[in-house]
Amino acid sequence: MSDYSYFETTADIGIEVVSSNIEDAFMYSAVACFNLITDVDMIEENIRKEVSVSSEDEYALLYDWITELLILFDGEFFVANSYDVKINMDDDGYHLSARLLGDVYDTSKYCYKTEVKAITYHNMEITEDKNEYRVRFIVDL
Amino acid sequence: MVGKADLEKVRDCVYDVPSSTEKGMRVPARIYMDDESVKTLEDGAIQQVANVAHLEGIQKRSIGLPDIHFGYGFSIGGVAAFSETNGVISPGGVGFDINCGVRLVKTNLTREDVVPHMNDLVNELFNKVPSGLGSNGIKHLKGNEIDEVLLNGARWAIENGYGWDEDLKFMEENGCMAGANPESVSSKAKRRGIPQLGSLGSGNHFLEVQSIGDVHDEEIAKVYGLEKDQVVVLIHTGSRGCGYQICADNLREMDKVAKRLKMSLPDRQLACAPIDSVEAQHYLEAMACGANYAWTNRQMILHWVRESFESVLGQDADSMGMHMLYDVAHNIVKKESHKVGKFNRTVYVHRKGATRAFGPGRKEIPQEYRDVGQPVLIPGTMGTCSYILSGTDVAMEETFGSTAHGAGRVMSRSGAKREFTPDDVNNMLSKKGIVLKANSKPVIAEEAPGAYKNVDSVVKTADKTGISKLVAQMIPLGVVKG
Repeated sequence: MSDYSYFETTADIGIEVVSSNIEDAFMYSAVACFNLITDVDMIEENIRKEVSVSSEDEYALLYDWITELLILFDGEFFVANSYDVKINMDDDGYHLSARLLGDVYDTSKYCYKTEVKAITYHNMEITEDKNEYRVRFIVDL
Repeated sequence: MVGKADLEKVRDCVYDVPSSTEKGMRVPARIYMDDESVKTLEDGAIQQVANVAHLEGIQKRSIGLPDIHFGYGFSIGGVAAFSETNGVISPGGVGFDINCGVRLVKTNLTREDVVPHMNDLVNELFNKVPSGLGSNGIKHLKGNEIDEVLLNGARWAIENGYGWDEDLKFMEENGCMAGANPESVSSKAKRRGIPQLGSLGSGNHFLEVQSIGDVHDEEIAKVYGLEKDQVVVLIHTGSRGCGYQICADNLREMDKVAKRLKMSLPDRQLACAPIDSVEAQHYLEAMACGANYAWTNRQMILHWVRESFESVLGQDADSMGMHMLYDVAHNIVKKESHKVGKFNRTVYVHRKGATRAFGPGRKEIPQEYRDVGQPVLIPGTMGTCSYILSGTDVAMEETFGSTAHGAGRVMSRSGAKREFTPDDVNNMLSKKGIVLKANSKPVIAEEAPGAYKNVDSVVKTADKTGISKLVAQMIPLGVVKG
């Protein structure tokens, strides 16, 4: 089971994801983030992309993962509909690789809601309890 | 938790939180705010101003301005200056949108000249100035050209046909921050920035045609070349994805430094590094590049504003007197000389959601304005008034030459969407005779004037406390929104 919701902050918006494993939690974190920008469900699966990030801890991994997707969006206008996320851990830290399916974001084709500038570390929480992953973070709009 | 109960009144609209309030505070925190706003201020924001007072090398006081609100790490509407010898540099003290700022362009036209053409003018501006999400400006930025933008700032734009030589004189740092090093900017930041150069963006950024309303100080208005009913254009945007990524990259690096040096920080987003560290120098070099990007961006938009007026009104920009008044940065760190105690010291002033407000005599101010202090531009929100103020001696004494930057959000975006529909906002503006053109309907609701603190009270407090002086009001006529 996985789900996400939004919570309010004065200036920006918070995202909360509850999931049975970390990979789904990170996938839904991305879906929730990009659903602020456009309706992710409506994005056609025309282009395939691969993303990989390595970070020293889970918090940094979430930060780097969302940042990487925002770079793809601003730099290449790419927005994904499907996110296949794999996460491994070794002595160097956490490694995430993802296969993305999506399309070029074209405002004549897809709706436009708001701009997401960045993910923040502010009040970021990643907790695991009885195989339930809970991820909370705030994005700067 | 530091909160309202800890505020001690210094004088009307000025409150201190003494450094004895919380263990670890090196200097007091000071907040400039009217009594009514203090009642509704989030405690979190006061705590944040106090948190900044914990940082190594902070000088004199941590400052919260009249538009202060809760940010990440540092509050928005905050100023902190750090010693050049033992201080720190923090990307969170600048914010994601490096050199987000505003510039004002004058005309010699009056309200009556322009109002009949307002629909055409707003349409033309909307078509000419790329705005909205993923909006890309000039696509033909080739090879290493981005490095020239990051290095040279607004001069690059002028050399490439966007604007006039004289424009440079009326920007902080003449539109080019010293110390910029494009090698310190990641390829990620460049990738985000390249397609967006020359675009307004989204969110609270806007382009507004306005007329001068009440003039509060005739003498200074005359020096600035402003009079009642004169038409002006306000441009509000920043460094786009390039700046966001420079901030994100460096926050990550500083987070590692803070861990390595075992700094005890009250908030991870306060991540910082000692000024002489590799990481701090790297950030300063990259931040200067981000600032240069933003000046280039506003310069290109200024050029399209002039072209839009030319094509709608059928005169050339020069004969319409479309000279720049000034361009101010809202999110930046600068090396400046300020009086601390009896001595002048070199400090790194972090302004996050704050405007430089240098008083008379400072050499950084263009000669034309030096006798009266620099122009300070405080934009309102979509459809509300904006203001021109001037820098003062009080600001030099008390706030490292800084004042407020705008209205400051008080209602969450989803709250605003529940409260207002895009049509409500549009109707309200058109009743006031304001023409609005926007890319995103949700953004219209999110940016409803009711979601922001009343800018009038912010400006009133800035004027009353003396940290800047009210010169004139500007009334919106037409708005282009991302």
